[in-house]
Amino acid sequence: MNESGKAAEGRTTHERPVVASPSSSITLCTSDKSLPDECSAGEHVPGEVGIWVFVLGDMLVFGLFFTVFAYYRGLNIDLYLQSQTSLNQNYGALNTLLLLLSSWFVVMAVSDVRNSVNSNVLKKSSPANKDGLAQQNTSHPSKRAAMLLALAFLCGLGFGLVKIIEYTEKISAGITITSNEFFMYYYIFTGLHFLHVLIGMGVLVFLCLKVRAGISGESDLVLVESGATFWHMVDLLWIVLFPLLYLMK
Amino acid sequence: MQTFFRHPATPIWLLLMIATGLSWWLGVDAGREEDLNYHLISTTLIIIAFIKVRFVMRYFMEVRTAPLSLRLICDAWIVVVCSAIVWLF
Repeated sequence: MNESGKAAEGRTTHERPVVASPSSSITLCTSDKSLPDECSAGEHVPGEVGIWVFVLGDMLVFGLFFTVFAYYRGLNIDLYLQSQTSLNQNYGALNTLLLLLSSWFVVMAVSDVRNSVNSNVLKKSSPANKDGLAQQNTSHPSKRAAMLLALAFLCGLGFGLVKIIEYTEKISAGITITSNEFFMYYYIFTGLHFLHVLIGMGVLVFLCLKVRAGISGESDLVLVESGATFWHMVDLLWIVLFPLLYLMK
Repeated sequence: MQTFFRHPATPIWLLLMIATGLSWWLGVDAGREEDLNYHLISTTLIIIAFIKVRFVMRYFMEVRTAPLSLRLICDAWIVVVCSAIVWLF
């Protein structure tokens, strides 16, 4: 068996098989010492650089929101504590668990897509393939990745349903954005975050359809990584919002 | 399916779920006891949240394999925002 064939056989999904930069060609990166040395550097930005500019900008804005909230909370702590008792912590925790689960599905989907792209590269580069002897890929990783992205979307849908139930309960009880300062921040922060969730769900649907149609190469991997990065940011922001709004005493 | 459980992000994900459960308990059940130090509980909740954020960044967003500049920006965001919240609180 040639070196490429050995690499394909010994590769598992938990290794980082591909180092992809948005504009460069794919670089293989496995634990196999026979593969290129540049992998030992192992540095790459997942997805488009542009998505990182957007994500970091968004995080900066939300970082300012969190700080402003903490400042005004300190000025009128009794009002904030009293208002907080109206919130249902169970909804907040359930939504955190849903977003974490969806993030895990997305991580697994990215891993599958990466392996699929990698196996395509190995097949093309393998001399055995030219003789028609290359092993057929029977696991259909792109279909599995599409299923994982669909599951992530369903978790996002679950998050949305819980949020709508929560908003409905609040509004039915007469608690709106104008009720007081705490609820103004509550509705603005959770509303903006919910908008991110809705955009992320749209991205997940697009990626799911794209991956289901077939993974053609590095450009698809970069696309999936970019969408995944955005979705993880949505998860990350909620991880801070949950204790800040629902739990802090 | 086996490859999912062998993925390095899976134990991190389990840790994040457990940390969420711990935060939930600290914020709801532990918070009901009257003689507790609420300042300590709240500070702990915020620190747990930002530790979770760092795990999400490094293992889910793959920042741990990103260039040093991106790793530093992400860590700086965590330190600055977490410190600001704890200080202002």
